[in-house]
Amino acid sequence: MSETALLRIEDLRISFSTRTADVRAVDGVDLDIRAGEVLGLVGESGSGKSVTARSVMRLVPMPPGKLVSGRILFHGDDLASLPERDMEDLRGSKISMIFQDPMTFLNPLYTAGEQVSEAIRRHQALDRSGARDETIRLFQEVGIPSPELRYYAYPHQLSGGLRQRVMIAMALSSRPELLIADEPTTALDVTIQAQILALLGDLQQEYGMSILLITHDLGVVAEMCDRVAVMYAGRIVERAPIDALFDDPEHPYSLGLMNAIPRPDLPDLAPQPIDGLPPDMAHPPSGCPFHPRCPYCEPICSEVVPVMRAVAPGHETACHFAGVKPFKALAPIMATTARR
Amino acid sequence: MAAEVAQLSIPQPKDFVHSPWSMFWWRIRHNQKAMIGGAIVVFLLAVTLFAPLITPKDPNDGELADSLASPGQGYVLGADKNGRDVLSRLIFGTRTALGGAVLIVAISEIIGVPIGVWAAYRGGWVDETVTRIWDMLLSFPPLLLAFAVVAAFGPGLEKAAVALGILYVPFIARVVRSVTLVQKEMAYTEAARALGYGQGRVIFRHILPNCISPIIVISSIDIAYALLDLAALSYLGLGVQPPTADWGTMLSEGQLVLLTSPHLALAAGLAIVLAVLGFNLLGDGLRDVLDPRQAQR
Repeated sequence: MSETALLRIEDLRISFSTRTADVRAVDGVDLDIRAGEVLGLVGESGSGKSVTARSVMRLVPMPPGKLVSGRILFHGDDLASLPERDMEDLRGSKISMIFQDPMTFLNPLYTAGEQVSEAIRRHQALDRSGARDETIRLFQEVGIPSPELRYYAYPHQLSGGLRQRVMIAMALSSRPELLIADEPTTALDVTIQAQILALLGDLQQEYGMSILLITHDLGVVAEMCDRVAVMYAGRIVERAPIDALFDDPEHPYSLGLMNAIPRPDLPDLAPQPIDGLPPDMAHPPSGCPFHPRCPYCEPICSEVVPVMRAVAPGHETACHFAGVKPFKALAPIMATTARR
Repeated sequence: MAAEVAQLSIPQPKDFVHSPWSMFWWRIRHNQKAMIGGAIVVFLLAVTLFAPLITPKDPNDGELADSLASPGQGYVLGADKNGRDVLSRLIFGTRTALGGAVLIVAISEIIGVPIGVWAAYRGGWVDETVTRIWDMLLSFPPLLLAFAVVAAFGPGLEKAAVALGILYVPFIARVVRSVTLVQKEMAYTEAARALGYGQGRVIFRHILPNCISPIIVISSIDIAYALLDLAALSYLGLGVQPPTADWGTMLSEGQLVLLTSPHLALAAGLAIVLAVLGFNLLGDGLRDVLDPRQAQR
């Protein structure tokens, strides 16, 4: 599987220095994304998802951030040690990113069209009118109605969904091989969310690109992803194909996430929250980072850090008791139920 | 009928295609503060430009017999103690005052804007060092430092302007720094970086234009302050040297005869007030006008 990996993150550790302590935001993440695959990265706020994604783009501000260790291999080249100039050429062309908040990621001073044109001209040898035509074509492709008019619209004149589409047009303008989507639908309302996800799915098929989809919404994961990595306290705790994760979660945290999904199809079943709070990453717990909140906790959990091990082909987890204790969801969850 | 209504409600491309300048003018015309302030500033600029054509008398040629003549008697605003026409001196004084103030602010901006942006964008020790240096500058009263400079290099308009210009750098730089700090954290800055734009493009095409409105506002206020400081230096005899006509010098001359001939100090004082008011109003209005979020709602 390694030879087909488009992006491969090895033992990534990133810490942020604060006045009192170093905060381990990412603490040994291994991840790989194959060409044409949609990988979901799931976890609570503060689990290190966004920092992991931004480190691929090298957008983590350093300082205060610090790359403690790790390699980020894109086509075999280590992005972590690439000169800044080469990294700039890569951003927006081979690797693109779309962001969460559609209110602020577009520059309020330029029209939507100007901004997409600028992105196109940064990476492609097109003149002004060529870039304009290409922008309008892209607007059409991402489903913006009356693209010629929207070209001249300022961001504040567009709805959240349209802004997200403009952002997608911008990110896809140079046909990237990898798209990093950082909670692309969190700030949108549910119907728009579904439209944007469908659009991303279509474009992924059409362009054959890989997507790293960061979200805390398992429903979004079920909708979009081929594989999922569950992140907790700066580490990957479980990695599995989408169906395997929903059918047979092998980490108590993944299980907890699933039991927290509201089940409108089972009105008697109230969503179960995971007790406790995510750990303070300035002082992470000993052993397994999840043990203070884990209902299956044993003495060994607070002493020994569990390593990733395979429980099935392509399905790995970092739990001492995976396959030993029966982790069962309160009600059977399949990708289809999470899909709502 | 229905088709007509539908047609009316669909915006046509030409509704969006306004050149930036025509939109700018449209917005200025609909902003009272900008219009009034702009009118005052344009008036003062016109006076500056056409000074030799509109002065009724030679500003430096006095008729000693008419010393301290009251307004009216052949002198619209009276005469000063040397018998020179106050209106003419006021008109030529506009040149010195505005020219000096604009020069001061221009110097402070040419130095201060890049420093402010750079300090904020780089952060870390660069930011620390630069802000410490300007905090030091700020801890002196600007006029006091200007005195020191003038004492060292001798009095004169240019020297006073350069000294004040450098002393104004921290005022502009810290405003620029603080707005840049805000813009730097905005999502679109990160988005711009994620599109592969280099540092220069991110700073000058994406961050700086978003800082323009505070810069313009602070400039107009600084021009007003510069007018006052320059007038103060001239008032103390350290700025503009006689016989050059200047509002500050006129004010100090007028003060000596304030009780007997108030028109002297009054004319210069009102001119300063008018100029300060004009620049403040213009700055205020421009702040509203330049914000595209205010436009085309």
